Amino acid sequence: MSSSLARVFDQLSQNRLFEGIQSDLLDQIAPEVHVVQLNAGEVVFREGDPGDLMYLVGEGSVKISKSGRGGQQETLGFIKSGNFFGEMALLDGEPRSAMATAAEPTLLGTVDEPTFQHILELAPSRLHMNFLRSVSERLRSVNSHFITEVMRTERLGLVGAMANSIIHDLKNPICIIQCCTDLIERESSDPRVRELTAMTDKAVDGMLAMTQELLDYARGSTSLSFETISIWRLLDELNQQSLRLLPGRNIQFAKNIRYDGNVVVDVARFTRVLCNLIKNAREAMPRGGILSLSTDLVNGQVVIRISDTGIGIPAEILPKLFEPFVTHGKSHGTGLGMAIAKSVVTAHKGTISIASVQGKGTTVDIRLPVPAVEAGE
Amino acid sequence: MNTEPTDNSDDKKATTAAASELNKLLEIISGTSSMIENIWAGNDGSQKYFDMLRTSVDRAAKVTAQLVEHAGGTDKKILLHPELTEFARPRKQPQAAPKRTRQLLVVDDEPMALVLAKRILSEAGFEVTTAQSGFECLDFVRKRPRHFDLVLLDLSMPFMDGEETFGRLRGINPELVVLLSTGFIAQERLDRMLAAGMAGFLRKPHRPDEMVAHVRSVIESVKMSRAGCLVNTLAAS
Repeated sequence: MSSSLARVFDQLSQNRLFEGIQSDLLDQIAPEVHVVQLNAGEVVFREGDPGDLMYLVGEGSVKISKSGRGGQQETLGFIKSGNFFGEMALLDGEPRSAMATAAEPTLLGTVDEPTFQHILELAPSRLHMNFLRSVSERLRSVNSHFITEVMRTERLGLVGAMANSIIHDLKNPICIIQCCTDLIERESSDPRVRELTAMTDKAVDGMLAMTQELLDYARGSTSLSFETISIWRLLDELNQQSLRLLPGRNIQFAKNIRYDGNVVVDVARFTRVLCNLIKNAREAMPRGGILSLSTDLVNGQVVIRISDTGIGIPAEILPKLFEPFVTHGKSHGTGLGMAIAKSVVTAHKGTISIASVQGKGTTVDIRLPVPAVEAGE
Repeated sequence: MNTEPTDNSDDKKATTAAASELNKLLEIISGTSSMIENIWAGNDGSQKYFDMLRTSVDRAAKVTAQLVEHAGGTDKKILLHPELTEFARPRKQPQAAPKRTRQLLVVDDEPMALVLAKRILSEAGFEVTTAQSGFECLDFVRKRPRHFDLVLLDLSMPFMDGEETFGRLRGINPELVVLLSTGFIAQERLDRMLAAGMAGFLRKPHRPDEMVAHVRSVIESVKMSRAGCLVNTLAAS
């Protein structure tokens, strides 16, 4: 190792992420940390970039900013030497929520997920603590003025504004709660503690699911990225994500593909809607049954139909089904599932309708416009 | 960014639903973490986890409070019926232990919330019965209309919510003391329920000690107010 490189690693080993971690362990990790040198003004990552690395600041400092009114960058803060940033991406796999730029000539060390896992294995409690402390400190500094800013400048709907700020804000404390509970559980052998941490975990999962649903709901009509894909590709996505769970539940799958052309969809979001419908169908058939999926071309529209032979939905509830918070059959659901389905399908310029007979089953139809290429044929 | 006109009533419903659910879950986390802290026998160094846990729960509660605010929910945290407040003064002298164990009925559709409330309130010396729906609650009260000293009632429950349950409870026993506990309620609705005779309100998430203290204070104030009425009636005759 050259002496300048050694100096860099020495700096990086002083990083707060590694506080209290023994030096022999650090030596094991050092080769996995890559060093990047940046000039002042150089971009580390942009808002919306996929995130798969976290960064340790060796020398210099990094500016964190977010686009605000009229596309201007609003500075959220600076990450100084000895600190780290970009860690949320390793936790939630979401795209970058802000932009990072070198504020001066800066040396960074990058840590990818396998390396992070490796460090976690070597020094679990210590790393958790360092991580948590930094994240929670940052929370305090970044927040509230930004929320009001977003609320005022972006003319988003009520929930839209929530989605962009408040809901994201919620993810951080929830992650910390999750980590702390995890640590507490690990350090205790008391069965009462385990019972309680298990409850906490369940509640945390519920909160994450709820925030995700509210985000999905809010984003229903915004920022979709459309792709033209074949029905087969769509079925393959479904196959990977939810259909394979069916056989184990004594549910038969019947398909009837009469339209096998293309559709224009936001693959991730549209698939999630279909997965949700399939999940509903599955839950409506606790003792098994038949789930059928058909595609057809009717009156110049692609019709995707999912039906089950389950318990059905009472007629009184049907008309309100697409409103938020009508739960049926679950003791407590987040209640946004069908509202999300509607907002996503509407954003695809499609329609969704439902028919159900109690005791017989439920049929959901999604109608999408035929893509121009197909229609021209 | 231009947005299509959004249907605000649906947005409001979604936000309300989310706020209510999130507060419900936070309440559970707040409860479990205080209980863990109480029985913790691990090393002292773990105190920091608890500090952090508490900070994060508070932080999350603040965020959900913003949701509540945006959806037009009440910002009140703890409320006692106005007519009871004058009886709620904490007495200086140590309170004599009640002659009999107070009977509580806790109603919530979330099983974890019931488990927790039962543990917390039992530890505080109450006898706790739990009901997982308004229906079950009404069944209990119908069988023994005067058995419970207080009903701790959740608001957002599927098929029959807390307000309807409350109305029907009044029908069975108008004297029954009902304390509403929910993560979200619109101010008008809260006012309406208070006007209909609800004894108090406690917004989720709340810490276990807050819950115990408020339950005690409501029972105590009701007892004092009834005694007061009696004295007044006697004096007047």
